[in-house]
Amino acid sequence: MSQKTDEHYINKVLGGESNAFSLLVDRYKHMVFTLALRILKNREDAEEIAQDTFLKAYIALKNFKGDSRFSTWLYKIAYYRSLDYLKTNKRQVETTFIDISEEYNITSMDNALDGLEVKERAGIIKQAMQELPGDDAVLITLYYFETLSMNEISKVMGIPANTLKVRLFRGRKRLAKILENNLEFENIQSYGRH
Amino acid sequence: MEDTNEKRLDDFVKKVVNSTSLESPSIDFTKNIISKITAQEAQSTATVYQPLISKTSWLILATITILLFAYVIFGKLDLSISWLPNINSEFLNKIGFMDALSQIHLPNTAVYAFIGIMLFFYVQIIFLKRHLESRFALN
Repeated sequence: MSQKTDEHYINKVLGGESNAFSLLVDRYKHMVFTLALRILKNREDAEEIAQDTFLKAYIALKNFKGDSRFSTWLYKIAYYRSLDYLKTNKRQVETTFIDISEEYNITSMDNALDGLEVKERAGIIKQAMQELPGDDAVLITLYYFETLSMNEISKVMGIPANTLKVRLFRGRKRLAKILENNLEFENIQSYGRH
Repeated sequence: MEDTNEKRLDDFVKKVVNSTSLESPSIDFTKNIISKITAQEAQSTATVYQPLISKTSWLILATITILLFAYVIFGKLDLSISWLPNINSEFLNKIGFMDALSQIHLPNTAVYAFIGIMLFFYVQIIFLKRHLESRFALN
């Protein structure tokens, strides 16, 4: 059932079976929602933009040529819709300023994270992603989670692959730094509890 | 040294990112989208633009007009209408209405100004149309 390709469902939708679209939505809603959330940093806005993305995709489906993957096409819509939303609402997303020249200790962070409960760890990582600037968070999510190639991410974000490499390099450092800060904060709090 | 550090960071971030799951939208997410799509489709069939005079009616109208003109021009038709009183062409000449019009002389500036204003008027129609269309466009 789930092995059926995206094209199978796309053709069904184009053939007039609009219900087949719900399977595509189910397949990609998490990623689209996550990408929107990474940029907008707000669940309500992200939900709205994710809905909007799928509506837009449904309308534009007949223009989908299939020269790229359906997923990357969808992510591109989501990415640009999110940026548009920020622009039209003139909202500044609050992200922390991180000095990436500072040192951080990967081993101790790794150990600290391993020492945490699964739920707590996930919470800290999600919080760090939330604090990361939108573009960095999208890039890291697409690269590490969705394991897209640099060329594919370049298509989604409309940024040359070489620039992306530099950004990934910096984004990683920022994420590590944010994680370290948050872990320290967490430690101080847990000392207080005991 | 720098490279191994980068590699370690790369591995670390990979591990960190993959130890979380994606964020989930609300439970009704898919349902909402499908209902929006159905609503939109119902609406789009209801608001499909239908010309007031269809193409076939235009065609019929055009044929009738052409035939009428052809009949008037080529057909042997007596154009004098018996029940209309004969118009005295002498009388029309006496009024000199058309002659009076040709006596009016406008200064060149006024003529140019008038033409200019007319031009702006037509340009404005185009802009207004575009503006209104974008305001009421569904996107």
